[in-house]
Amino acid sequence: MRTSLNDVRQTEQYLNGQLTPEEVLVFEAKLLTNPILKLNMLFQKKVYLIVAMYHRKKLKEEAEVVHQRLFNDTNKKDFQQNIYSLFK
Amino acid sequence: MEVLEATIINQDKKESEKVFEELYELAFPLVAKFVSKMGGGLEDAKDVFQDALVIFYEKIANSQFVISISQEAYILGISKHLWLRKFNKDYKSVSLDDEEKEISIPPDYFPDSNSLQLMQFLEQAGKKCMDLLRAFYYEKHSMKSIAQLLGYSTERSATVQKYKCLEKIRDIIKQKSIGYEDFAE
Repeated sequence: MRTSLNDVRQTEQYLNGQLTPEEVLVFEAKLLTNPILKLNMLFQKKVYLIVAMYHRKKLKEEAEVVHQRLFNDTNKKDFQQNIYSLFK
Repeated sequence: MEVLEATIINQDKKESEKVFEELYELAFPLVAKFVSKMGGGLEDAKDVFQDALVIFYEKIANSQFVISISQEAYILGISKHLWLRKFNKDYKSVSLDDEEKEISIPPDYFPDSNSLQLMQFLEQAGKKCMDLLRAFYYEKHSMKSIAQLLGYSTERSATVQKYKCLEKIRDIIKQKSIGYEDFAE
């Protein structure tokens, strides 16, 4: 794996607390001397945040599929009527 | 034969879909009733309920999560908090019992507009990577099944791909955040 990918991997392991105490020391020393590595770490944190948002958005889309299915199912007329009657 | 096919389809269904199907019939009527009582419409009820489902699903994915009330009561509780939050309602306008008061909504559930824009951009520009990262971090697939799913020959190549994707998405975010000029200097 090329160096830049190794940095990405190490950053992930550092953020997840998966490095040994010795590795943490070495990594933190690298962070001090390498401002790009430090900047990249901040942006990598943002990646996790954005992926979490994306995941939630996809889950909500799945919920909408279930909604549409339920409200178009002729076997679920009672359920649909029950809901519609609340919003008359 | 039909039974067999049904089983296969059922196994193919995603875990989240199965959970949502069950909870929709169980809990949506309660939430709809609450929203209607508060003067909201069906669309509001749907919006609040679907967010509540997502939050509940995230909570149950955490093995340490235990609830002392029924699932539908818990989802109603989340929905009440969401209703208050989304429509900026006064907390006094909704009565919450002790269990409901304990319920919390993830603080990052309502992202700022900058993060939202980034996500929408990446959804287009980096879809493949976004899907891979989502599968890896949230759908609990092993590297082996991700490799099979996405057509990589070995786990190792899927792992390398994961780090490549992290790097790619990171660099897009970096570019978008810093702006090209500063970045080139």
